[in-house]
Amino acid sequence: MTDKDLEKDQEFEKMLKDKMEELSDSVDCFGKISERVFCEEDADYSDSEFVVTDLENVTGRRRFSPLIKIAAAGLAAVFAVSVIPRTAFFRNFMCNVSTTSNSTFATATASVLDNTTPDSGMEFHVYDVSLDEYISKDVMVTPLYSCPFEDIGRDNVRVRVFVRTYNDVAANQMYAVEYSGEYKQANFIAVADTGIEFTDEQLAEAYEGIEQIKDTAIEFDLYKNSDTMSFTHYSIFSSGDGIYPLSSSFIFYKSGDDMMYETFHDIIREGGYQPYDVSPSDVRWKKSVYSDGTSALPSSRGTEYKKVTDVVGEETLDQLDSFLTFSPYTNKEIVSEYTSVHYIEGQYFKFDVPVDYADLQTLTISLFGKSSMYFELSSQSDPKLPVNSDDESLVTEISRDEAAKTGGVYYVDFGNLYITEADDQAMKISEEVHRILEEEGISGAVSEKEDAEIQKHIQEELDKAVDAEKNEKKPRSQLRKLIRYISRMKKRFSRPRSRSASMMLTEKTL
Amino acid sequence: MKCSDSKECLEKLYLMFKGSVFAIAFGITSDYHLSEDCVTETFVRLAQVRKFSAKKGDGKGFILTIARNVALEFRRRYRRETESDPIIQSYGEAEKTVEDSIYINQLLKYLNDKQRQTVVLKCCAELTFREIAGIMKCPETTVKSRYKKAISILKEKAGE
Repeated sequence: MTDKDLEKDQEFEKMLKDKMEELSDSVDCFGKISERVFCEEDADYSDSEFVVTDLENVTGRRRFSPLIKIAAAGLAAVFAVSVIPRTAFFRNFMCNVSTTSNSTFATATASVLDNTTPDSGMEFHVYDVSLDEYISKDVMVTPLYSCPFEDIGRDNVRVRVFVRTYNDVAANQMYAVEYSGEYKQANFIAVADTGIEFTDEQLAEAYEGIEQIKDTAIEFDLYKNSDTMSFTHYSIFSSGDGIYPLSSSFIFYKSGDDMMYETFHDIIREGGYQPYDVSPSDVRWKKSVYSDGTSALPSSRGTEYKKVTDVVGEETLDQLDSFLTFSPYTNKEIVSEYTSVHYIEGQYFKFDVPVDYADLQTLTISLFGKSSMYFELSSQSDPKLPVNSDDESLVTEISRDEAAKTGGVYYVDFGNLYITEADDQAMKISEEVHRILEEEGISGAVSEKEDAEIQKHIQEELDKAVDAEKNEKKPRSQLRKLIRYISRMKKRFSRPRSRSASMMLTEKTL
Repeated sequence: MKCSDSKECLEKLYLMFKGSVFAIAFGITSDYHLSEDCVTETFVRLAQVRKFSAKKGDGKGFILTIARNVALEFRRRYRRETESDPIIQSYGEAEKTVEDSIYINQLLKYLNDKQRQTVVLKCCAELTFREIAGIMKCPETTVKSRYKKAISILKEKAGE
C-alpha cells in the first residue's frame, strides 16, 4: 500500500464517519429511555423479554441450567474413557503424538502458515526458487541472508521464501519452507524463520525513514576497471538494538571465473544518517528445522559469489568517463513472479539479477570502456545496446532515448559520442566544465560560495549552448544530463566518508 | 456507577455513546428507525446492570457489545417487516435523514454482514482492531483482513 492509498483510505473513513454522525445527530431518544428506566410505576420489560433473574444477562443470551452442563460433561467423559481408546483412529493418533523434537517442527510450521495466510493481515513478497539456486545465488534472493537450508542432494527440492513487506519495502521478518513436489504441508521438508516479528506500528514508523534514506544513500555503481552490476536493497531492519531503515548497496564484478561482490550499508537512527556494519549475528536465521526436529542450517555458506571488502581500485579513478552506465529496470513495469533468479546479458557482460522487483528497479549496469562502440555513430541516431534476459518480461534492449524517456540513469562519454558540430560544442563545454571542476576540486571542502560560482558558470555555458546554430535541443539536453552527472558526482563525493573510494578520488582531483 | 439511580449519569453515557451505538445498529439493521429503537433498548438494558464488574471487560466494549447484540436481535425479530423495501423503511421526517440513510446503505450494500460491522465499528465507532476483535469474538488479524478487504471494495465501488 502506498502513501497515496493510505491517504485515500483515511479520506474514505472520514467521509463514512461524517455521514454516520450526521445521521445519528438526529437521534434523540433519551426521553424514551428515561421513561422506561426511571418510571416510578410498574416498569414494563415485556418487550425486552427480561425477567428479574436475567437482569445481569444484558446480552440477552439464554443460559442453560448448570446441572445440564455438568451432566453433559459427565457423559462426554464416560464416552472418552470407554469408547474412544478402542478405535483404530485413537491408536494411530497416539502413535503420532508429538515428541519434543517434532513439536519444534510443528510449531515452526504453524507459525509460518498462520503468519503467511492472507487473513493474517500481513503483506509478503513471496519467492519460490530451487534449493540449489538459493544456495548458490543467495544474494539475489534474500540479499542480506544466506539460504537457511543445507544441500540435501535431492532433485526437485524448492524453497518458498516469505519476506514481510510494508508498502513494498522488505523487512527482515522472513519465513522459508523447503519442500518437494507440490507446495503443501504434507510435502514440507524443513521450515525456517528469522525469529523477528514487527507490529504494523513499528513498520509504519520505520517506513518514514525509508524515503529519507533513498534520498541520501549513496548508490555505488561505478568502480573498478571492469563491468559492474549493482543494486540497492532498502529494508526495515531489526537488529539487536533497534529497528531502522537500512540501505544496502551491492556491487558485483567478474574476476577471472569468479563473481566478486562488496556491500555497503547505511541506516538512519538517532544522530541521523550513518554507515552501518551488518554483523553476521544480525542476519542469522533463528530457526531452521527438519520434520524430525534436527537442525537444517548449513554448516557453511554455499554461495558462488565471493564477498570482498575492496571493490574499488586506484586505477579506476581516472577512468570515470569511460563507463557506459544504464539502469534497465528503473520505472519499468516488471511482471516477474519471483520464481527464479534471472540474468541479464549483453555482448560483453552477463550478470544474475535479484528476484525482488524493488531491488531490480535500482539495478545499474556499468560497462567499462564500452562507450567507444558508439564512436562512429551520429548523434542523430538512437544507438541501441542489445540486452537480453532469460525472463522475457524483462528488458531486451537499451537505447539512449528510451533511457531518457523512462528516466533511467544513462551516462555517456560526451567526448566520444558526438561528431556533429553541435556535439563538438557540447564536447567543448564538457571539457570546460571538467576543467572548472578540477580547478575547484570535488571534495568535502566545497564551500557554498564555490558551489554557487560553479553553478553560475555552468548556467552561462548552458545559455550559450541554447544559442547554438544547429540541433539546439540536443546540446541542451546533453548539458542537462551533464549537469545531473556532475551534481551526482558532487553529491557522491562531497560527503565526508571513511570509505576508500571517496578518499582516493579526492586525492586525485585536488 | 449505578445508572438506575442517576438519570444524570445515564444521560452522560447516552451522550458519550449514542453516536457509536447508533452506528453499530445502523450497520447491522440498515434501518434508521430500527436503529433508533436499538439505541433506546441498549441504554435501557445498560441501566438494568446492577453492578458493572471489571470481569465484563472495558466499559466501552461492554456497551458496544450490548448494542451489537440488541441490533442482531432486532434484525432477526423485525426482518420480515424490513425486507420488502429497506429504503422506504428508512424514511424519517427530515429529508437529510433520508438522504444520509440511503447514501450509507448504498455505500455499504456491497459488503457482507461481517465486513459492514467491521467497517462501521472502525470508522464510526472509532474502535481499534483489538477492541473490534473483542466485540466480534474473532482474532485481531481476521478483523484487519476483513477491514482491508471491505475498504478496497468500497473504494472500487465508489470509483465506478
